[in-house]
Amino acid sequence: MKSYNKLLGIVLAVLFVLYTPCVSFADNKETNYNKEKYEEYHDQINFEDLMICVINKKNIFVTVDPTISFFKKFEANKQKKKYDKYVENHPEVENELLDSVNSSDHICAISYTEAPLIYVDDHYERIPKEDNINMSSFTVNANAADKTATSSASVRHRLTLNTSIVRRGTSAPYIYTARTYGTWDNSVLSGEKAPAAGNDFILQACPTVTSSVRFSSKYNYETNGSKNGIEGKNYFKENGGDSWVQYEVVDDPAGLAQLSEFSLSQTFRAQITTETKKINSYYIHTWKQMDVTVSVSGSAGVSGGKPSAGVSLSFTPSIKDKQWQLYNYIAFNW
Amino acid sequence: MTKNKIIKRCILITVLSAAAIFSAVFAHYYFTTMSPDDCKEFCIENTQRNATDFVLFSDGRYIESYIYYVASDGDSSKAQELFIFKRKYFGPIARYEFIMSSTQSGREGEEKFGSVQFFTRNDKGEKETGATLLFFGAERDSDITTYEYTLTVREGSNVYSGNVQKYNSIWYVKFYGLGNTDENYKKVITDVKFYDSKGNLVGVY
Repeated sequence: MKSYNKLLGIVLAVLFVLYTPCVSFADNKETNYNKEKYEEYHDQINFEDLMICVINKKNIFVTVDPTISFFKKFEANKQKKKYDKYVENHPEVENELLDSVNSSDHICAISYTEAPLIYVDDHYERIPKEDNINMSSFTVNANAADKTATSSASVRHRLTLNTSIVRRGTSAPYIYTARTYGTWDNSVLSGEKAPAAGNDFILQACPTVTSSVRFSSKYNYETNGSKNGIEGKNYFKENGGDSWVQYEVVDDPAGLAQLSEFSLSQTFRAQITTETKKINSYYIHTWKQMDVTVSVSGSAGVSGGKPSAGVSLSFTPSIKDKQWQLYNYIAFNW
Repeated sequence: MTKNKIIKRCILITVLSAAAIFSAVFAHYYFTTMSPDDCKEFCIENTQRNATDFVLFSDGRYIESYIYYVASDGDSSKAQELFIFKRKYFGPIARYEFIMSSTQSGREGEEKFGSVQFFTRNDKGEKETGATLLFFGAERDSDITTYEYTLTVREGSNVYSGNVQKYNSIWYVKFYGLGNTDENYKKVITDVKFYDSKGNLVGVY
């Protein structure tokens, strides 16, 4: 009996070693300063074992790739469930996937951080964890309450930072694009008489030397005859280095320049490695004009075609109590 | 029990366990895969446009790594229908595994042609770097004979044309390896137009 148990143990051990799926992506249980203090939700969807099809150019179909191994399917099913949940709350991600596949881009992963917000005193505030139930701790300005019913502190709004990694090319070193896309779910009625607000800041840091940067913004109302932002008027490249970039964007939640979405992407070249690297994205929302000093820690570079090290950014706003920040990261092997 | 008997019993248990595992793995392989004839039956059982006949065409690049079945009949008011299968090996044995059908996206309207764009995997299970784009349809729903498309590569864009592949009451067009190879080089197919035998425009992708 003992021999049989030993044999069974060996067989199980061999099977376990043979079929344990390789963990290609980092565990996403990391916390950050805001997560401790404010309500937010972060997750990452890895598409390596999912199949994305575009049917008749307009319909996206995502499923667990049936050709992957039995053991990988457990993890793939988890990713599919995460995807379904994300699409339910953010249907715009389907358009992002459609654009990627229609452009023959290989989408590797998407991560997102979602922050519930409330509108008080003509600006949005993040929701501290301890005040989740007792919302009365926020003082609602009478003028703000007059604007619309959705301006009430009891109504939740939302800002979502989403970062996707797209790979292109037929051989290594591949070209990667990290795109941080932000969407404001802001239904506050705007008007010309509303007070001007401070510009916002969007930053992204990649652990490698980037070769190109792109930015775009979109508004809920037409400014300059279009809802699209114009460089130099609605957004400006503020700062940056080899591996990070900072843009400043006009955002007036209570005025006409009510930012609805923005996109910041950096493109870089890298080999596929077994190392997990992180791309960090940051959004600083302000409601008073201010400067933000950026500190860069860590360094980035390319060694033998592989990205090296990691880059984190921290900020010192000139007016600390008139701003808040949202952070998102994506961890990926490339 | 003597030492020899224990050894013999261990060997017997090992052999039986290996045989049982092998049988279980093979059974799983066999019952989750199909022969090409089974694939066609599968299509007929799962058709959304009540088709009674499906015609096979293959990928052609990896000795039929992927095979495709297109409905050649059925309800013309429904979308064109394509089923995709991928070859799966068990040692030297090759059978096919169902991947997806074009109607799984919920598309139901009347269409003269269908299209699917996706990333295939090679036999090692690795995703291809370039995307595959397929156009297909039943001949009885449209007399699509020629097509025109714009191919954009490093040197710029050019318009090309060709005849669709016709085979046993279906037609198809295949594009492979779509994607970028560097920041300035984008191999992309756009503005695909389909014409009938009289030169009339039938559909635009």
